[in-house]
Amino acid sequence: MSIAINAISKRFGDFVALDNLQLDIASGELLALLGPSGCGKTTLLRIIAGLETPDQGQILFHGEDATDTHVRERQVGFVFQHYALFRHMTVFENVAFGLRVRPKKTRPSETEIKRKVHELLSLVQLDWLADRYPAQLSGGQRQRIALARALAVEPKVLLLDEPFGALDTKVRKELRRWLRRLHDEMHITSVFVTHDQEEALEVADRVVVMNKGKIEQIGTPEQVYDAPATPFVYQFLGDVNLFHSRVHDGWAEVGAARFAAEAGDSDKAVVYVRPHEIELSRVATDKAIAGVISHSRLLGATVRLEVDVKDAEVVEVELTRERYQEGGWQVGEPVWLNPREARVYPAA
Amino acid sequence: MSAELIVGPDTLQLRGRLDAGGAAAIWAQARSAVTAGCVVDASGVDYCDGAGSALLFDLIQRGARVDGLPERYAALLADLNPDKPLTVQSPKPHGIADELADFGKAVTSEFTLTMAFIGVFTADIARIFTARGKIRWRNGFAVASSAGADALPIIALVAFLFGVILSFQSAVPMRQFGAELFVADLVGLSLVRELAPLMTAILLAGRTGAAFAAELGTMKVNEEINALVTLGLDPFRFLVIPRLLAVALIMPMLTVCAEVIGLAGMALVMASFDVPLATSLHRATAIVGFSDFFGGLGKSMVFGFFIAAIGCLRGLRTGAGAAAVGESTTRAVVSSIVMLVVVDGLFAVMFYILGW
Repeated sequence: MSIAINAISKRFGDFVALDNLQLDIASGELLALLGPSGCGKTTLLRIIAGLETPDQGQILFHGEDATDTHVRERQVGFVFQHYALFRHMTVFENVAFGLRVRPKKTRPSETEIKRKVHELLSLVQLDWLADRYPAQLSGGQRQRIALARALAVEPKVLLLDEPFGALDTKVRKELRRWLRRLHDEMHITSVFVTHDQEEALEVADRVVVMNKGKIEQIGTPEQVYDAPATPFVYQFLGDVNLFHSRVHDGWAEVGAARFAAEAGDSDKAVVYVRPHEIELSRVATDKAIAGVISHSRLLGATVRLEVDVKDAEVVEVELTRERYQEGGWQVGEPVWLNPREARVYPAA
Repeated sequence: MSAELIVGPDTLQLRGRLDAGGAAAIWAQARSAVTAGCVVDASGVDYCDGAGSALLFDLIQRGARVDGLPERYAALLADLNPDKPLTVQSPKPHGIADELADFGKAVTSEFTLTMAFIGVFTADIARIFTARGKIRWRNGFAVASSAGADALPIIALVAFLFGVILSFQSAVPMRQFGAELFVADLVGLSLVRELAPLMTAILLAGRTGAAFAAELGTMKVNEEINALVTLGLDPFRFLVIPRLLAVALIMPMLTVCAEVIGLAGMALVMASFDVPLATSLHRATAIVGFSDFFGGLGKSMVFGFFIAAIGCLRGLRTGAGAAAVGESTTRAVVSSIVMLVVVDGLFAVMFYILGW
């Protein structure tokens, strides 16, 4: 089912949570709402679910206005960050709950419920836990049960609020892949909220980057990463170095390096360079920035160097371990920085 | 590298790091060399923090002009502008009018929310009587057993104590008039009309009302209530109504138990004053009329209903976080007891007017 969000606004007192948002979600797609905490992504998700009402605007489900439809009639499955499993029920009862509480006319028979629950539990690979209570499960298992519970009522839309936010990195990575596979099997329109850019880029078909109640960019993971529309998107999707500069004749100058800029002459500009897109060299070239290595830190497969540069804060450079060893870089050594890629945005 | 000061005619040249150490080292020299209208060339400064800005500010105060300070440090110096207040002015202290306005707003919002709760509740009750089968009796029975049967020992204990204390304390002075027989009248009437319903209600407010607030509050905090809603359930009908009905039904039963046990305690004390068991019980049952007994039971039903309603309301309106659960539990008990006093007063007035 497709969802259209039409000029939605929401305030909490003086705080503007959502500011005139416009978003179309295609049928069967897996969409990520990405942004820092407080950017309004969860509020948007809850408005789609019907747990909050917007101050203004409309929500269309499959082209029909659903703004005033009650949550109970929207047929959404919602997965909460902290699982929200019913503690006094077994795993089986939790998943069966949504079916058991249906009115008699639409309620499936007991054998049908049993079959369906076991089918869902094997889908989330936890059939063997049916008789346990939520308190006896690990975080990752609980979240998978929560997902099974949400899917039991055959929702038209699946909404996930930071589903992996409370899990450790390793489990999170596993569940990410698993969610992607599940979505490829079921093709149910899904929206999930996250503040983890890696998660959004890895799992989603499309990513919506939000900040301060507004949408900064909508696009496929490649689009938002390779062609960030705003400095915010660039900064949010990974580490970044900033250089402040002024524009002369269409070029922003940082030390001896020059970057093509669209800003007008003598406007202030900010040059963004990602740490892994900087080459180090011992030879001065005409387009390089001079600096001194002040720190080096080993991060598993990569090495992060901090380079002190005049007129800038510390610049971070990321090298693979082999490159670092080949180069034989030392702390205290003067180097030249050669950005391979850079983006220039007018300074705010 | 530390700071360096080169003194020239009408110019001071600063170089190096203007941090706490650097600025301190050259401060005295710079101060003595500075003259009104002289130019401080700071283009050679490659680091400047608060201490450095303080030095530059001091020189400016003495009439110097700072030139060529790198842009990123200029902002720091600009913050030291004497015309610009450094501290944000604290908001004006609240006057009594503001306090009153806040209080009024709080009362109004509380009132509207409570009214909305009562409205939804009434509508749902009406629906139960028109369309049957919607109410979850199974949940109701579970609540009734934990709020009723499990509360019996403590209620029995307190009721027995009430009966014993009340009869003993009144028997001692009344004996001086040879009127100890009338203790049965006194204890019987006050237990049945007032004390048994009220005591049971207070115990239930502390036990069950608080439990409801904590239970629903935890569900709210864990988003279980939202999960119920997304699964297509009305939390009001599913969680609140069974609790309300269960407690409203269980309260009169508990009250009857409390009355019987209280009277037993009274009979025990009377026996120690040489009044036979049969006599004291006969006096007590003779003085308590039909209206006293059922008036007390009706009252206890209303009490139970309000205790459950307040507990559920507080639970459903719990804010975020575990601390909020504790807060709503406390508020549930306090408002239940205040409610008991008010409702009991209203009943007293009503019974007086009706002549019961």
